Amino acid sequence: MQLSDDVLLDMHHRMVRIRHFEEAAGRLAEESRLPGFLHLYVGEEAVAAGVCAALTDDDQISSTHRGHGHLVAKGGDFERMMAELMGKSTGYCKGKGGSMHICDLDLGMLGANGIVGGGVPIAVGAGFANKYRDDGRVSVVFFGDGASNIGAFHEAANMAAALQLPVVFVCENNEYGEFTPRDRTMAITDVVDRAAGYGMPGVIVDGMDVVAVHEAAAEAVDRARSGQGPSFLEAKTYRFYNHHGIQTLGMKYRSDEELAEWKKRDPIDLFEARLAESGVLTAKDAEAVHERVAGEVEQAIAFAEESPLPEVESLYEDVYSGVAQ
Amino acid sequence: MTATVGVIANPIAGKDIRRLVSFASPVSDMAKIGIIRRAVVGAVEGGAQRLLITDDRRALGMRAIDNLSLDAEVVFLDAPPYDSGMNSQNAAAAFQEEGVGAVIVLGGDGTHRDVVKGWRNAPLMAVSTGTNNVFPRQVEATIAGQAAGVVASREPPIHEVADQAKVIDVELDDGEAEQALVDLALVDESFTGSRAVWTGQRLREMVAAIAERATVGLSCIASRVAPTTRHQAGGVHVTFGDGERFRIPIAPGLYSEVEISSWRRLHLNESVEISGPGVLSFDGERDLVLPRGRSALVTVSHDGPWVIDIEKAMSLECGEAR
Amino acid sequence: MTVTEKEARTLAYGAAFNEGLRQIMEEDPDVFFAGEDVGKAGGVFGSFVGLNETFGDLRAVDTPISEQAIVGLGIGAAVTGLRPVVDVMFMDFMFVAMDQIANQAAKLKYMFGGKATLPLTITTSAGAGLSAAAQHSQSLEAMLCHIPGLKVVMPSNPYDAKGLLVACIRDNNPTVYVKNKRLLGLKGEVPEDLYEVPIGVANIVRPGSSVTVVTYGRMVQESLKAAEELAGEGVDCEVIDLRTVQPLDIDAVTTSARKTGNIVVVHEAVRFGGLGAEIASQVQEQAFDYLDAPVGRVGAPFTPVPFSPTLEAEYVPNADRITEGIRETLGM
Repeated sequence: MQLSDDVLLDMHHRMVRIRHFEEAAGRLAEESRLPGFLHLYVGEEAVAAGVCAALTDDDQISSTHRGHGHLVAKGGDFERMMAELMGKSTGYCKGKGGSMHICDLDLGMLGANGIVGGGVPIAVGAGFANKYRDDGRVSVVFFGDGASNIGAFHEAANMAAALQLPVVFVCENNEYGEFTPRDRTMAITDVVDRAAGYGMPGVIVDGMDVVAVHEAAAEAVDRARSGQGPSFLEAKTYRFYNHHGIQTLGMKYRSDEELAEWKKRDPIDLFEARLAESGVLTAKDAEAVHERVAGEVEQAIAFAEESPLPEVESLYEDVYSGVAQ
Repeated sequence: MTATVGVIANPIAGKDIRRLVSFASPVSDMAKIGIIRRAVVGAVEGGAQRLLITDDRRALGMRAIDNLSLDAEVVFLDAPPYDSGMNSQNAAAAFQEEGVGAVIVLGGDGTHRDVVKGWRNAPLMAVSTGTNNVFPRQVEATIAGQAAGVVASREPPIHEVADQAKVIDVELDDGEAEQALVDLALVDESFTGSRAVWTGQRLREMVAAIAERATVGLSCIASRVAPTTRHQAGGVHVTFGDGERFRIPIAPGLYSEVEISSWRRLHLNESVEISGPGVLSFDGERDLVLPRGRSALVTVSHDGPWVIDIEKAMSLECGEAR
Repeated sequence: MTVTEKEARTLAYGAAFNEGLRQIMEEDPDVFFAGEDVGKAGGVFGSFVGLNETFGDLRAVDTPISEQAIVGLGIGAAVTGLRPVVDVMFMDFMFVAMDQIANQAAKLKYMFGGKATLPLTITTSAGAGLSAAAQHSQSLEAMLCHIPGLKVVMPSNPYDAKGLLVACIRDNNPTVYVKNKRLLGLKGEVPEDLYEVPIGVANIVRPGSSVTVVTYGRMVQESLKAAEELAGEGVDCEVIDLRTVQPLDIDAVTTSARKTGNIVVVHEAVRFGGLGAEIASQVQEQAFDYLDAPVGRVGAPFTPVPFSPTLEAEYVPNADRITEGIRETLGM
């Protein structure tokens, strides 16, 4: 698959946006400037970026508790995201969802999800609607290795295959379900081994290589779009920060050596090296992208901090549609 | 000396993008564990007293010997934290130092290539568990394991039980050296990406050491103009462009058109220069970016690994025909 | 007059459901239904019979036995613009799908700051009395009513069975529509036209002056029998059919309580933690001074639903138990 420079630069931009947004969010959390839980996507950027670059704006994705990266990759707005993380009224969810429920339905991002595996059946439902309307849209389910052990995943995967829905299952296998290594919770290593059991093709891709992810995603999306049913991608990846994204939490569930080994394969570093080598993006130009994005993040933080907190009365709003409470 | 058999199992063989772009079958971990288990049982039956087994994040090796009562010492090699061809390469190098008498390799062309990078003249029991393999054959692991055990324990002169394979040496202009076992191709791509090559349209140039008609993949292209068996000396150099068209099975269940502008047979140890830009594919997997202005010197030699012939090895165990 | 002729037509409760679904599917191409056995087989209770033949596999969808995925299918389709009806065969099976119902469907709109609209209807069947035992007989509405974001209706007659279904499907919120299995054959007048029974509006099915009996679902029929019996003793019961249990039409209840001064809540679900407790509490908050006696509650005992007909007869509230409960409240 020969990718145009535009696609390559676009994927780079998406990854850089995720990295800067997440690292800023992590810093804000450490400074106690963000309430609640925070699960950072740093390290896994190639997966969201590689997959979302294969989607149109009309395609849908459902996400996980580690969902900021998916929203950014789908085109999420920094200001509304940061405001949501701070619980401000200008946030994507008016301060009612926070990190774990961040969403933008206009971008087809059907929400992060606080329940592991909870988003899987929902994306399958979106896939059903796409097939129902025959509108050529595809829905993508992002989920982790841990979610692949929950019943909802199995039910939804089977249903997507049984009904031949235009859905792509993207498993972000980062080797840990919360703090417990995968080999203590599964007797198989490759989640993709389960795909055959549902009757869909499954492939493993290097989740640290955005081009590898994109190639496979593009094939799977084409397959879904052309009515050939669901497929399964397993991206081998790694989260660089702790489960809650705060280094100072003191969790010692994995070794420094292991982390260091994975960081050698930082998906952004790897990609930038290749882009520089092929003359698509010089190191200097890459730096400029980082600076510009970092500036946008700072601007978003300022916007969020200046934004008002929600009016207390809004507690009672939006429980139901069409009902003044 | 303790009869030692090494086992290298590639955990990720049989799961790449060809399951999406063609009709290649997946090979699950459970299937691989079964293959390792059968190979190990066979190896001990054949006389192996010590087994060195690579391990990986999947613990395929450990799970394979779980609950087996083997009359042999079992040693596991440490695994890196993520999948990499270096795992197989390092294991092969370690096996050479440990004086391993036969190496059972469970994987595809790519896995065998990694092994050869670590130990060029390894005595190999090549077992295919990958996708569309040319170098390793489809053999039942039980008997392959037993043959490896026989070779390791009886220590026959290797040429009596094995055939030496060809190697495609790739010398890069920056001094780096790489190898392929079946074919080397220059593909019109910029990235290694998902690694597999599944369209003939992007091929620019290739050198094949094995060009057998009964295969699936790139090497089969060369067989259409200059069939060359694995035992025959020399190779084939093919350039693509305007010329004669062929439809070839480039992946399982997937045919692709290729257009060959020229070809010629290569003598043993004769070199061909291949120049970038493009991505070099080794045995059907994109693995190295060759930027514009860079080049590689490609040579087919006949001093590669020793591939154990099961019939010959087993004749040591069973005796000659009566 | 033609309208009278139409209204004179009688239909069974199950058939009324079926007709309502058929008509709204004819009206709105975004409506489809999905569930176990609801397509080709027409549903285990026959409620969906004939619809697959008319609307095909894409609008009358047979699913795997996967309650979570069935509800999730509805959520995903609803949030992306369709108007799904998903069937959970027995209400007991809702526990299997509770994450999708309670954590996802009920909360998406709120969690998303109002952005999501979920015109999702979950249909199901509740009720004991068929020796279906502990996992196929429960009435679990209280559990659903406790979750902000859901609406719950429990029709007691064929007219409401059709009208409430139409209202649920047209509603832009996740609604749970609970049929009672033992009402499926109950016949009553059902207009042929498509009509709605508004959600959240109770119905005084029998006006009276001595005591207010607040009930819903199949217990409406039993309460009416009890009222008839007590009428002979000079007790004039006002029977209120809540029709919707979330949102609760508490005004209808308190208005009646102020009038009669006595109130008994009747439901088939277990008494402990049931709707009766909520209604009693709200009535005493709002109409304490009007009450002549503590609010009475008739419900099932705190046991699982038993299998043996003898035991089940003891378990399920009926007209006699309701009569007894009313007498107790009235100090008779």
